[in-house]
Amino acid sequence: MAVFKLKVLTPEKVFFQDDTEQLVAKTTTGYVGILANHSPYVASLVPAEMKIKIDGAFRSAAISDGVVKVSEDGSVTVLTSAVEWSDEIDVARAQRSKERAEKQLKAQTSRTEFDLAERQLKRAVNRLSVAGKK
Amino acid sequence: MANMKDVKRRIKSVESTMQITKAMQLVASSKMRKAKERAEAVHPFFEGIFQVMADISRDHEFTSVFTKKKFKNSVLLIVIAGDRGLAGGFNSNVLKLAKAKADEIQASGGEAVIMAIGKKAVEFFEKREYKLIDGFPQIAEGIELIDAMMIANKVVERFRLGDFDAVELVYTTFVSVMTQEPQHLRILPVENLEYLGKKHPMTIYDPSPEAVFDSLIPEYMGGMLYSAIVDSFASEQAARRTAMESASDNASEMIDKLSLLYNRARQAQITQEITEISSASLNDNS
Repeated sequence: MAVFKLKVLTPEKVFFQDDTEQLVAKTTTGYVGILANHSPYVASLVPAEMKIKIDGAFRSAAISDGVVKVSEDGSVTVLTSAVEWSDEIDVARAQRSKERAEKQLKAQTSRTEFDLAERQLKRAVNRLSVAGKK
Repeated sequence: MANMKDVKRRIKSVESTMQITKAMQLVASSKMRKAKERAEAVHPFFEGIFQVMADISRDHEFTSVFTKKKFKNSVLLIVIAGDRGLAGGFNSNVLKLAKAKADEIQASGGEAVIMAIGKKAVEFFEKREYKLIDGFPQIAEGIELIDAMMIANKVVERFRLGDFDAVELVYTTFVSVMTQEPQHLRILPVENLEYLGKKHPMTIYDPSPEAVFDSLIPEYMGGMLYSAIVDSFASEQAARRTAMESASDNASEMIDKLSLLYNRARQAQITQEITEISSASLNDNS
């Protein structure tokens, strides 16, 4: 199968950099699958599962907010603040983060804090749902 | 003549001080190396984000609250300094610049609102007549991106709601092991973006260039804040390393001088003893 260069970057490190057959990620308008020779494309990503296909097999990762960019040369870059392979997710930490967010949502706080807590909850729930997936 | 016992005690005390400064120097230089690596790791991500933002603004005529220049009524100054002292002029240099910027804003009729990162910055602005809206002491060491993102999200949200018209950053950047420079940067509204007419109409933006641009702002801000905090931390360690190095040098110089003094005193005492013994034996013979 045709491959393309995929780079997944976070501010802390280069998370992934290799030839890939397919990338599946969730944009603000829904899941997209990107294959080799995709036309130039840029989309915002929302917290969800991201799948990378290498040698016919998918690897799953939990991704936070970010952006995906297909350049004119066909290489693909994913920029995100946080991403973890499904088998490396710290479930206990995600659980704690979820509980904290829920508590904050229940407390009557300002609009801003409510929005922040809601986003934190989304990320935590996403990490919990992706954890353990192949 | 110097008292031998006193001199010896002083040598001991200088030695133990030197041990501390030496240890601090070593710790600072290893922390500095680590922080430098982290600061460098941010670049690819940050350039990627900025590139996408630059592409969007280059290809599309669009409006975003994050690029609109407004009359500066209220400016948020994010000031990053260290958590500890003993780092030469590190803290005072950056705080001096921050104060100058805040005064400048206020002199031109605006209001400067301060967000302080680092214990020294928090203490500095608490004592003075500035509006400190938020303080984050003790986060620079071992900061994780998520911490920076949380702060960035708060700032971006409040900027969007119009709490401030501009966001500026004052921190210290690592130039080299010997030099660290205080810096002042404008973060919001985003500058250096230009519309050059449609050059790459090929790119499809999902859902729209504006939406992608706006959704990138928190990442941009978070990345920038994270890199500034790590950069500042590396600078702090470099400044401390230099300060401790010169302290150790001074201590060893002092020990040399004191040892000389001690040896002289010892010699004088021996000479005196010999004189006493020989004069005593002379007295015996007579």
